[in-house]
Amino acid sequence: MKKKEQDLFVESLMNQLTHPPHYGGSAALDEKIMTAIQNQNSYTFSPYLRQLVGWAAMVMFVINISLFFYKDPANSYIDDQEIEQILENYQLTSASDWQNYFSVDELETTITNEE
Amino acid sequence: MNDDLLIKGLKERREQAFTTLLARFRPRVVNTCFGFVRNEQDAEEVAQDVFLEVYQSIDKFNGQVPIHVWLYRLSMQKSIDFIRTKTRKKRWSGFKNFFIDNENTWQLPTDSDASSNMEQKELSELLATVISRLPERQQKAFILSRNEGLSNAEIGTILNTSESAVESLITRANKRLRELLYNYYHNRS
Repeated sequence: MKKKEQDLFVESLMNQLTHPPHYGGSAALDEKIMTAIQNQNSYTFSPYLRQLVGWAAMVMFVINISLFFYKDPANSYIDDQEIEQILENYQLTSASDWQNYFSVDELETTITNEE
Repeated sequence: MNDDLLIKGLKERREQAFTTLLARFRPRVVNTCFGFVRNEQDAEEVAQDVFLEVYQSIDKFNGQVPIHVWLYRLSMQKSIDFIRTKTRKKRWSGFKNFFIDNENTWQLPTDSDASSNMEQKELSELLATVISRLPERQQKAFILSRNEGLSNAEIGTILNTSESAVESLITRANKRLRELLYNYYHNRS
């Protein structure tokens, strides 16, 4: 009984799949498509110009990104941590320590005396 | 207007050419899309996309195949893409509903026809789902054969394959559809 029900169910759906209704759309669809095409026509440039605009946008993006990371030497600000790092790299002593001024003075005096 | 003149007109973006294209091919395009999506509104939406694609890509059409073959190929690809997008959206909304319990989204049927409309809609969705479970080439061959009533030779030209391969694709599609429907029946009961 259940098997028969199952076969009926499958056959009825298979019948719908193998003998589908025909739907070709309406004349209203033609109008809708023509309007969409006309809208496209009024908003889009020629394909070449569109490609050019695309590339220009890409170049602008790259320039903007590089400007974002670029530091102008005249206006760049170096923070304390960075100064410390530079001093450490060149094995220099930090000038922030006031005693260092004296040590530099002493060094200069010694050199002058030796001369 | 023969095909060559039509293509020339389309490439020159003449309105008359597009009107002719619609008059000549709209029923075939919509019906092919309907075979995949099984819903009149969706079929019209996909058909609109197909004709807009023709407008945008007509310069790339090299005339190696007749224009109706190109249109069939576009219709089938757009329909498959539409179903994929719809399935993805459905999955996402299911996921969203799982976390966001929005009671306002539930809509109750208001008239007596609602339940029969619902049944019809469910049936259409079931048929569309079953077809979408077939491998792509089987789907295409089956729909071109059943919905459009094309011969195996014509389908072979569209799918770029031999007549015997089309025959085999359709036979396998029929077999697989039956299996899927039996599985659906078992899971339902």
